[in-house]
Amino acid sequence: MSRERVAIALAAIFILIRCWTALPPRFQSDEQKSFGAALLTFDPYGHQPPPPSYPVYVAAGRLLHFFIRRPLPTLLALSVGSALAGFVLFSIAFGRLLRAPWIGIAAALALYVSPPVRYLSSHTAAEPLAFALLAAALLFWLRGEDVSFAIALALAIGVRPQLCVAVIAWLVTASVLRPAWRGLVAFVATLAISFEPVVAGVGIDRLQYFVANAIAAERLRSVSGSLSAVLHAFVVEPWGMGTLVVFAAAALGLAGALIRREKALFPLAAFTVAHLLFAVAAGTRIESVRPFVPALIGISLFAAAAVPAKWRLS
Amino acid sequence: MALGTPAALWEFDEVLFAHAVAHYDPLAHHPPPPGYPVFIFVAQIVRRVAPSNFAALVSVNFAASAIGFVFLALAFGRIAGQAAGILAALLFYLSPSMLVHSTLAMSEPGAVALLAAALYFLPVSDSVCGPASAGRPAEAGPHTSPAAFGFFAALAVGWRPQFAIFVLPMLVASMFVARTWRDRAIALIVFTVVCVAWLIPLASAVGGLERLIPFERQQAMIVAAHDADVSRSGWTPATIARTFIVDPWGPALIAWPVLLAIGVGVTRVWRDPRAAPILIGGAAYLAFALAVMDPADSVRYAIPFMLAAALPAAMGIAHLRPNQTYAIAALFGAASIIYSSSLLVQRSTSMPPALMAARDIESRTTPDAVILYELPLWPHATYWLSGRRLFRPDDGLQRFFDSKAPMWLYADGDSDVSGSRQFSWAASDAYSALTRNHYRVVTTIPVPPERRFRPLAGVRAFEREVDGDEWRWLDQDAALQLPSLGATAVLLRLGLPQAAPFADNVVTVTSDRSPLGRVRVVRGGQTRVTLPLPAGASILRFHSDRAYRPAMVAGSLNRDPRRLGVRLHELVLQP
Repeated sequence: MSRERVAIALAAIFILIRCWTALPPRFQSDEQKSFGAALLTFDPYGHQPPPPSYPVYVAAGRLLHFFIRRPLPTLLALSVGSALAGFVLFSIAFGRLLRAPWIGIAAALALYVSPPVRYLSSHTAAEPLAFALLAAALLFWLRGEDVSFAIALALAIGVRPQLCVAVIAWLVTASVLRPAWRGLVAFVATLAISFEPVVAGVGIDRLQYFVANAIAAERLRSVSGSLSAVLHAFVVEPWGMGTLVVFAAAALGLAGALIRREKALFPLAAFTVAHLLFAVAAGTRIESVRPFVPALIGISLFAAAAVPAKWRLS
Repeated sequence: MALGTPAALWEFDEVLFAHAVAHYDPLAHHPPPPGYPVFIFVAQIVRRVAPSNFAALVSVNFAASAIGFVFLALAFGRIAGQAAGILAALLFYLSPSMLVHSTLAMSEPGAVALLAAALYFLPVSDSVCGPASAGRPAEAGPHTSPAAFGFFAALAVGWRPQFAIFVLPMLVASMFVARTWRDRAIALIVFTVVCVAWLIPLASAVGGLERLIPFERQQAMIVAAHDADVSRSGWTPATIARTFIVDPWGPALIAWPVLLAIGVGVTRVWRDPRAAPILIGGAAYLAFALAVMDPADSVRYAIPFMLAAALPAAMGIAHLRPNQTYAIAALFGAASIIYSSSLLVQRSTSMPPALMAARDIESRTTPDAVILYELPLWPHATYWLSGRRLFRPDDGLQRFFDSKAPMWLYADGDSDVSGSRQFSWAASDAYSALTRNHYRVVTTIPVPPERRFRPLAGVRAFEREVDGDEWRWLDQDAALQLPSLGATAVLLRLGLPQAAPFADNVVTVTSDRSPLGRVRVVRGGQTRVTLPLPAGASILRFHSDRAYRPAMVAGSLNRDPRRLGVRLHELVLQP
């Protein structure tokens, strides 16, 4: 086994321990309880789970629930397992993107030890599974498997529909760099299949009302807090006092990638920028930094990209 | 399968089978008609080492499903190739219908295993078709055996007699494709002898052959009157077809790709004489099911058809995606589990609501309590509450309406009556689509003296929705007798369903002594009214200005032949 693989395994054990020690004994909110109840009764119209219904997350939970049999352990196992898978896949993918395996591992580790990601990875949340699918998508794209890449991206939207703007930005950028019509067809088909249970559960006749209602509720939640307070939290929480340094490094890394025309990094750059803009414009304020968390994927990567090439150990 | 094994008896027939394991009495519907002699015989043998009737039945089915999988994979593998054979068996046993039914205490899993064994020994040459056989005489494959074929086919019918609808056409078709006249003769003779062998104990249990025929004829008449007629109220031919053909495979997302694969596979297999008996058996069964069987039970009743359809489905997939058969099987299995996991997990990790409600009655009633049970809970009541004073609602009310004895209703569905206790499983699409949608909510309802009455005329049986709406239909003229509580008033809640053919109805209520009042009820609504009762009044009469027979309403799909005036939702005597 290569030294990189040993390092990934050790880091994964470290993440597992950190997640394990933070597992809650019960659901922490009504939203989490609603996810638990959705494993038994998927009722999107009755807000179980809450809009936008997270159909692939519920499906994954139901599959696991068949084996684990209790809702809370099921959803926690899904979060922790997804976090481990996501870390491993991001480590490999980042290493390939930066052509520096150790930097890739460090970037993925930095992502998964950040308090917001660690919190989500040890609680009932859709983000860990969405992150794992995004990591898989990145790896598929690097391997030239365009159909699998598109399917993984579409499934990530099915897991956490709030990612749709950023994921579409990613897909469009990737398609410009390497056109793949079969991938686009697979993306649309997977999205349609993923959301069919929501449409069936709500009913065609009530769908328009359901969507309008959900958007109105999200708007209400997004204006019920202070954006400046959320942004302030966002520049403090991810890595404590070092967050600003990471952000600055990420900006440098992004600028360097653009200057050097490192096209392989463009799709993730589009994802990160699109998601930050989306989170500012429509993110739910009362959830504090949570709507911004997916952007940490790109921020981790670009901060690592700022490391001078001569320091990158291969 | 182990993860889907139920925690206790749940469905109607399961409980009757458990009764039968304890004492085989077909006349008492233990088991239900048409008798299931082989199934109960085997279960009774296993019961000698199993801790309970339920454990015996489930153990038999668990083993049968495992064996059935192997035989089915081998049988279909002979026709479609090893990989497609395994895929076909996986598609069948991982389908939502089989995930739910393969470990229930029902007769299907064992009959399926025996049918799969019969198909495995089908006496048709493996080289009967294809270019390799051209110019050569047909040879028996290594596993063809007309005797074993006839033996297992007959046992399948003895295990679950309804499988005759599949087996007999299959047997006839197999006669056309069998290799030799000797094979045909052996298969027919063995089949006949084994059928007679299981028929004798069945006939003996019902009191002889002369009573067996009326017994089975009576059941056939019930099927004709209920399954093929009244139970199809509200069903169009298209919805009946969908419920037998599509629903057993799960929701549209799962089912339609399978049906597409079946379509592709049929074009590849229909000329293969080895598949002809299976396809003919499946087609005949499906035609009979569509014409006669109760759509409410469609997912379970469709199992033999699904078995036959799994072969072309696998061949279609193997043709379209030859290198991805196992990946597709895994995807199908995962989707199937996702769809049905809610039902399977609840069923295997918690006691059924019907059992919890029975235990509640046991724990909070005295032995002198009168327990009324609704018809869907008849087997459960007689199994779990044996020794208590059990009655059908109207029989109990006839005898005890004026008694001070505590009375409880064991009800299949919810109730908003004060003092009721509800036991339930969470709702899911899978529960409503894959089961008869009974027993998800079971309630124990107190029936205090002020809520009792004796139906005299035109008062129909209790009906109930799972959400708690409950009523009795009243004929255009109906009468009931009140208990002697010295009540001065009676609270009535009358209603008309949305489907009524008139906008409103006016009901005249009179006592045996004087008119009490007129109540107007509008379509889709309920009217609550309190009417004074003259002293000593004991009879209430209802006359509805209008009445209808749902089966006679133009354009209606309802086949209910009763004449209906209004619904009586509640009657409470007031002091």
